Amino acid sequence: MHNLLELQTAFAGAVLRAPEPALLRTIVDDGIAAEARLAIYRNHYRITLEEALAATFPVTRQLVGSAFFATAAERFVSVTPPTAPCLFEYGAGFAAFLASLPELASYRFVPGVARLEWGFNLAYHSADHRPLAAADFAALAADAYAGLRLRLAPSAILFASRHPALAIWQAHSEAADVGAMRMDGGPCRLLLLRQDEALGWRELDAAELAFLAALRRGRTLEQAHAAALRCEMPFDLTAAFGRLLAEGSLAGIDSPAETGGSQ
Amino acid sequence: MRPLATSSLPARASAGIGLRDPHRVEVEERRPPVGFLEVHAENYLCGGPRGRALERLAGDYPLSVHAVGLSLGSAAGIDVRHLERVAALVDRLAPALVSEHLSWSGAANAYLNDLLPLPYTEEALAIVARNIDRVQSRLARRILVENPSVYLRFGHSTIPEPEFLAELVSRTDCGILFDVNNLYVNQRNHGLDPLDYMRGLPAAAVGELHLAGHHVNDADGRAILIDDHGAPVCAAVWRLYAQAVRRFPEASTLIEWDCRLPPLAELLAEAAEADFRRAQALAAENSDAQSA
Repeated sequence: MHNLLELQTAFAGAVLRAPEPALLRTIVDDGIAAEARLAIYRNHYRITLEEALAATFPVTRQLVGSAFFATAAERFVSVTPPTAPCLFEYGAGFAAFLASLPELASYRFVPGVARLEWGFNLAYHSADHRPLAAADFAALAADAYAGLRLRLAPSAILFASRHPALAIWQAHSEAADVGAMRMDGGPCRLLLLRQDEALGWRELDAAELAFLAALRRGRTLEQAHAAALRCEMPFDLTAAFGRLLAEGSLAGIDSPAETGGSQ
Repeated sequence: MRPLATSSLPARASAGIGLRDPHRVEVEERRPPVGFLEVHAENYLCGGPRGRALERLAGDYPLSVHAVGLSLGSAAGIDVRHLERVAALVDRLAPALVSEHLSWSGAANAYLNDLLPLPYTEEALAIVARNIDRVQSRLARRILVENPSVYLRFGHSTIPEPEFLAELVSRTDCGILFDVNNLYVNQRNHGLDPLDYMRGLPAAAVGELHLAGHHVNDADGRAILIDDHGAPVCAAVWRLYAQAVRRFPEASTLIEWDCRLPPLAELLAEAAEADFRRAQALAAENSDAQSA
């Protein structure tokens, strides 16, 4: 236990679970027991990460209530420690964890709202990009488009839920106008995007979601178009392309052709 | 060993404040006259409004990048991915100061979101020195290493903390960030002699002083001071600060708050008080020297 690697492994175990006797024996007990000293670190870990989750998932917390949220967050942080030091990156698995809780079995929309909040968090903190403009395409030959791979902005996040997650979020969020809430509304498909300093979103139909998801996976424009058409609903490629340019959600062109290279 | 780029502010710079997100817009609008702004590196390893605001502020203020997640004390070594992200931020901001803590934060791929205590042994000294070397050579500059607040001590520690820091300075050419409140917290919790501690630090290496408040908690039926940066600087810490200023006259001072954040005006008032007390302590030092 006097080896530093062993000591740190045991200490991490004490923070996440409970201390081993061998670790307790390494700690000077001068009036405050070793367990009580370790509990200071255990509490700090739990409280600061619960606060981080509460900051990232404020509407989820409102929906389930602060007491249930605290219990769920405590269970999550004990089994899912952060793997990196940036707290705004902590909580990627929280929505899935909520979906696994039997207590929320009759509230299936809650994990959907949590996923939406995670999407906003990703969009807010993602890397900056220079939006492509029409001029970036000026030199392209007409027959080059089919093979283009358009790179979506890092802050362009695709979101889909079987529940009306956006309407629920809007009804509970200070950041949005409270409108009529439709808990029984249909599925929700969104493109979330950070534009300059603010977060925005727009609704997508199934075809445009399939199109953007294919672009996100690195498919060519032709393949993404085909994915949209498989949804068997009207899809206007030129109009979809125009919307991406206008809102600034394209970050680059990856193409095997000589026009390619990366931006 | 090649000389490292210095990590310092102009001597006699006014005290700085820790820039926290709720104050960001107000600081951008008011541009208060503080000596520098310090940010936690880990809050700015992202795109978006925060990072852009900091780039704008970098034009008007010297910056200090205070890392909390490099885990200089990890036996498993420095997380290269995290070091690369911090290095990119440092490259982008070109801060006057870069600092980290004499502590560790994670093991076995779990980041424990805290500044955890080290045993002060020869083994730990070698590990921390190797990790500091790694960080300094990647950043191509000197970093300041901060004395931590600790809530437990290890029975197998053999090296007093100031000696441990002094040895790191001599092995790695790093500097020291001396946190006055952390020393006070450790003094109260573990019975250290603060003046003895300060005398043990190599004065020329101390490039920055931290001032903050703490919280008194109960552990096992006894009072224990918790360094939560959520209260004004207390009278005892101001008194220690006057001693610290005389011992480390070249170091710049930072007012640090992290929880129960007060209005910006309160941070600015504390920074002004630090400037006043520093001038007073240095004047007393001069008059002592003249009458000696």
